[in-house]
Amino acid sequence: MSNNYEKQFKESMNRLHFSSDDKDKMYQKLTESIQASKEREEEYMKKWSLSKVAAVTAACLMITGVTAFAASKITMIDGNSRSDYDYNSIAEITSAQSNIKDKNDKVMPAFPETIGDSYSFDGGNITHENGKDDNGNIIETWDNLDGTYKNNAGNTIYLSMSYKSLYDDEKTPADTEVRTIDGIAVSYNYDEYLFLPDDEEEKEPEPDVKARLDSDDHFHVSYGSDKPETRYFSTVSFAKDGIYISLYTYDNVSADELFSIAEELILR
Amino acid sequence: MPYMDNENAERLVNTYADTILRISYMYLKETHDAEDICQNIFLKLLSKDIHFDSSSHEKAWIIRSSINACKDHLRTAFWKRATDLNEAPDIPVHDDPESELLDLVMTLPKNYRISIYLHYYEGYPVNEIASILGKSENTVSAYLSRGRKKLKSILESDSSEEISEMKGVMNNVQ
Repeated sequence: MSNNYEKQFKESMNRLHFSSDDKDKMYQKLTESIQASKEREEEYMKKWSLSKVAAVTAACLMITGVTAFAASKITMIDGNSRSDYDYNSIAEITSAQSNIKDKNDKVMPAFPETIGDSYSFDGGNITHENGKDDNGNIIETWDNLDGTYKNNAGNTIYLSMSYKSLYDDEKTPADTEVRTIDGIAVSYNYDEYLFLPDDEEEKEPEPDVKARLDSDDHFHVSYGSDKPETRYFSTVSFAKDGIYISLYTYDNVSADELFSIAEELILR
Repeated sequence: MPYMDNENAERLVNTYADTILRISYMYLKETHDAEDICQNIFLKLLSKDIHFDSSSHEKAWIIRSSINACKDHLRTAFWKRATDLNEAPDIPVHDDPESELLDLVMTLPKNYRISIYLHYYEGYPVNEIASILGKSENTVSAYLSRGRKKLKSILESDSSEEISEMKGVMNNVQ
């Protein structure tokens, strides 16, 4: 790279930095976390668990993603939750539900002890969502609750409840299947994810991979894994009484079983 | 002195927050989650009471952790379903470093981008970049060489239309 281009590149990078306010806030959060951690260690002798973007509930998603700025409109949602459980029993997550208020006084249904034929509640989490506008300003915040259900075969299904929808119908691809249960549209989607190592990104995709990317809205390629890996992601979602409910799994759970669980939740 | 204290927290933020932001930008093409990535890395460092032989050793750990955090972010299936990284417009949370050269660098594959960033901005030689990325020196040399070659072919083009077209093609490559 010539000296002139190198200089341009460095100047560009120099312009990318946190503001003093951002750093102050970051420092503040760290010191609060340090204090909380010290208190927790003193009380429980428990290893502190870090917050991270949750694999099952965090979504960074463009709702409009278009041209003009919409300073007061939510165009992106991101959230975070703990990697271990916030709630270890139905009683605890039920208590959390009563603490999550909706401005329109909607009420979340209780998390069941069991779903389907064989899945039992294993634990739950709260996810703190931030709705942001095009400028990254937080417009609205809310909390989702997620229950993890497991069976003896080692399969896991996640049940998520929210007062807000994380999806914009205009932006999401057509559902794999939709069924109507008791007058409620229940959407099912089955998505295939091909994870490839970083080195693959600079190459042209294999013809069959490219053909699928061009034709299949439910096939996705992502780079960054240690080795090629395919995973499948099934979701069923619906809205009832203003509450958005989703069931999702990475395991081999049939569409019929997910629809059956959705029916249980709708009819109870 | 315990590592997990406010003084160390302040030092980490002032010393490395911008580095993590830039790596997030170079790797993810956006900065929305840079603050979360910073928090996670700093807390991990503070809570694990990791000690380093030198500040350069500490910085290399921070850079490696940032790249791994970015990889974890990309692997999040749910996130991937919601939006496609390569299609999502880059909405800046922080001031967008506008530069045609940077725009072109951002069209390169992420390994080239990160290697270029580590070499030309952070000043790391090839062998240290290889250690940070967990790649061979030959591989890193190839990333830099191919990256420079692609940039050179575009930058030396006389046609602004060709530059725009190339940027468009590179942005659509998945």
